[in-house]
Amino acid sequence: MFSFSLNSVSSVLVIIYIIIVVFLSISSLVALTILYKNAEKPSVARTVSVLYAVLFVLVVLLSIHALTTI
Amino acid sequence: MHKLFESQRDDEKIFLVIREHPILPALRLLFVFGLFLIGLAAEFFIPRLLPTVVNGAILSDLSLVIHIYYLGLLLGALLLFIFFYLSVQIVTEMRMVDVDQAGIFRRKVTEIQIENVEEVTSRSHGVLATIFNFGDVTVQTSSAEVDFVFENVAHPEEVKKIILDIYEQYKRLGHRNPRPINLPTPLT
Repeated sequence: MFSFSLNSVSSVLVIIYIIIVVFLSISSLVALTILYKNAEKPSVARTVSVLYAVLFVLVVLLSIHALTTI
Repeated sequence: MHKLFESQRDDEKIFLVIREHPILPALRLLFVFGLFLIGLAAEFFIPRLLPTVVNGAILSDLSLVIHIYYLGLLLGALLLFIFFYLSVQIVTEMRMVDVDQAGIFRRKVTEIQIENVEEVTSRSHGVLATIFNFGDVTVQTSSAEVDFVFENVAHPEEVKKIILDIYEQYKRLGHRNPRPINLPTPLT
């Protein structure tokens, strides 16, 4: 579904992209864990986490979509 | 009952939970949104302004770089919110607690007993501070090392008054009085 030709995109850049996405995902998880652990109201932490996760996944999907359609 | 700080007692009454005035994190988030718009504009205009240079593989590369930029901005916005939300000052019937979340792995919790309060001053300066009514409240203590500064809190005058009221009640009613009386409604 998300297959794309490495001829059209620098393969090095794709690898860098994957590394950065993994790094940002881990950083986000750490940040959200700290938020959950110390938040005064768990509902605020939950809302922010859901919102963040949706936006993060959306941007990743859009980037994959952009790669497959270009 | 959920505790706001580690050493909070079960019967300890909390009168103030103060954070930075929301206008400041809102402005920071607005700045991040501005950076997002710049990325959006770059994604839209660069291929149209330079069609002969940016096409094919370069266009894909550009798209990838801009999406990495968006993810970075998103994480930046999350961190801004976390630093705002987790940095909090708490005033209870017997002490003041300053929780400073200065980084992901940097959290400092300072507390002083109400009885050590010596002087409370509020200060508001600048156009934004005057318009939105926020400023610093400095609590000087008998300890030479610790001075509490509540930075950029909303309604600094009222915060100062509440701290002084709690101090007065505390002095008048003594250490183990279960609850000070005639205190104003807590601000949040």
